[in-house]
Amino acid sequence: MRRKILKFINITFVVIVLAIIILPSVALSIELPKPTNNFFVNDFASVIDSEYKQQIQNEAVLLYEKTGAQVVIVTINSLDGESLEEYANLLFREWGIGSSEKDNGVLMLVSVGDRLSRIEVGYGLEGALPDGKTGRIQDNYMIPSFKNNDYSTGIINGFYAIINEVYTEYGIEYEASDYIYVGEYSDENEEERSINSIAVIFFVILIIIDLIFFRGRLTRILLLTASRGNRGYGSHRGGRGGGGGFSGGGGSSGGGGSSRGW
Amino acid sequence: MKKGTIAIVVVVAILLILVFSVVGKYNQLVTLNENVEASLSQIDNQLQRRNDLIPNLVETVKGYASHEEEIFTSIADARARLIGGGSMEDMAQASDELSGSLSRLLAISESYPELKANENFINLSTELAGTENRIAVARRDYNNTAREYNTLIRRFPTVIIANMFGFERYDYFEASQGAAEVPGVQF
Repeated sequence: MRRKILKFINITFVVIVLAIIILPSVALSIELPKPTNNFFVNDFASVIDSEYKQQIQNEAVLLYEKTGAQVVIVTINSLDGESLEEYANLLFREWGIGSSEKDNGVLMLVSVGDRLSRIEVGYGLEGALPDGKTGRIQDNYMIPSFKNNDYSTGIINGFYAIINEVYTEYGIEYEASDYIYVGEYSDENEEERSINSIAVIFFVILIIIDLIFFRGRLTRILLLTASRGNRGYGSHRGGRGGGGGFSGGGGSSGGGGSSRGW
Repeated sequence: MKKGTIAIVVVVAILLILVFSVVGKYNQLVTLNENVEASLSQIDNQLQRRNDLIPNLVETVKGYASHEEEIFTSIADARARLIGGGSMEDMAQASDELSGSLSRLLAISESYPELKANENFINLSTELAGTENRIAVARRDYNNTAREYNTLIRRFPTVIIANMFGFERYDYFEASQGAAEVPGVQF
């Protein structure tokens, strides 16, 4: 028994040391949300009508398939005291909007609580969307609606103005009704993907205790239950068929774009 | 095998391992150093970009507010100081002063509604705000690459190789008071 206790203390020590090394690199000083499964529309402030959300998602997917460019909408309730520009740039890079080769990403960030919005453009699209133009897009298509608390209209209009420029840049004739997207917009896809690293380490410690003291019986039982459960879950996700599952291509932004308030 | 031969083989093996690790560390230092240099030139690019925007902006404002002499002079002075060059700290300070003057230039538009509504002015102000943000981002990226490099040249045993080949520390950009403020535009 004494040997087992010593072994346990030993391993726990190693795990704690590893945790101390790993956790700091995981923790960001600004708390950024994770993208939803849809990736292109992230309405955390719940201000966009679901019809428009569906339309934006369809168009964004279409644009992505035709040009590889990623235009992402994010609405939030508050910046929590952070600077709009820093938040936008960090989120842009964290999510990796656009491809890593071309940096062809665009982020539209609307903070409803702060009454601030920003369009941030990746390096690769700075020619199609110079700062002045993104400013005009906001002034002409977004801010007037935002002033009337009509976020849906402002956002979708701004979005169309942006993708128009991207299509032009890639020399593609833009037709809105080109493609009828089969997937159904599911609210389930709105769940943030979350990985809680502290919880992971906690479970690792539990498993280690189990392995030492109980010869891993508990872990085996848990694994069996989990794999049986997976079958049901798997078919549910399969039925969605492309309803979500997009992610960033590793693109980056140098801070170009424009900010506006109302 | 003779004991002597084994000894020689072991010594040669140890030497080879040492050489390869030195080469590896050296190359790593070179890569990180180049990253820092690249970030520095990115900052220069953005500073240049801002510099190019200024004449147009000043002219547009002059068209509506020609007698605001003081602000035009301070901008011209700040620009001259930047071209003059100097240590990184001097340049950072001159750049921040220019940011401040430009901020005041944009603030002038509050007193001149016609200027504020002028499309050219709006365009240039947005471009300027964009460039200031790019400078801020470039500085942040520089600080990150500099920190990565500085940390490595201090670590043991890399510190020995760093000193041997003359790898030196880079200074960081410190945020001065108010420098974090990007000249904002509210219309």
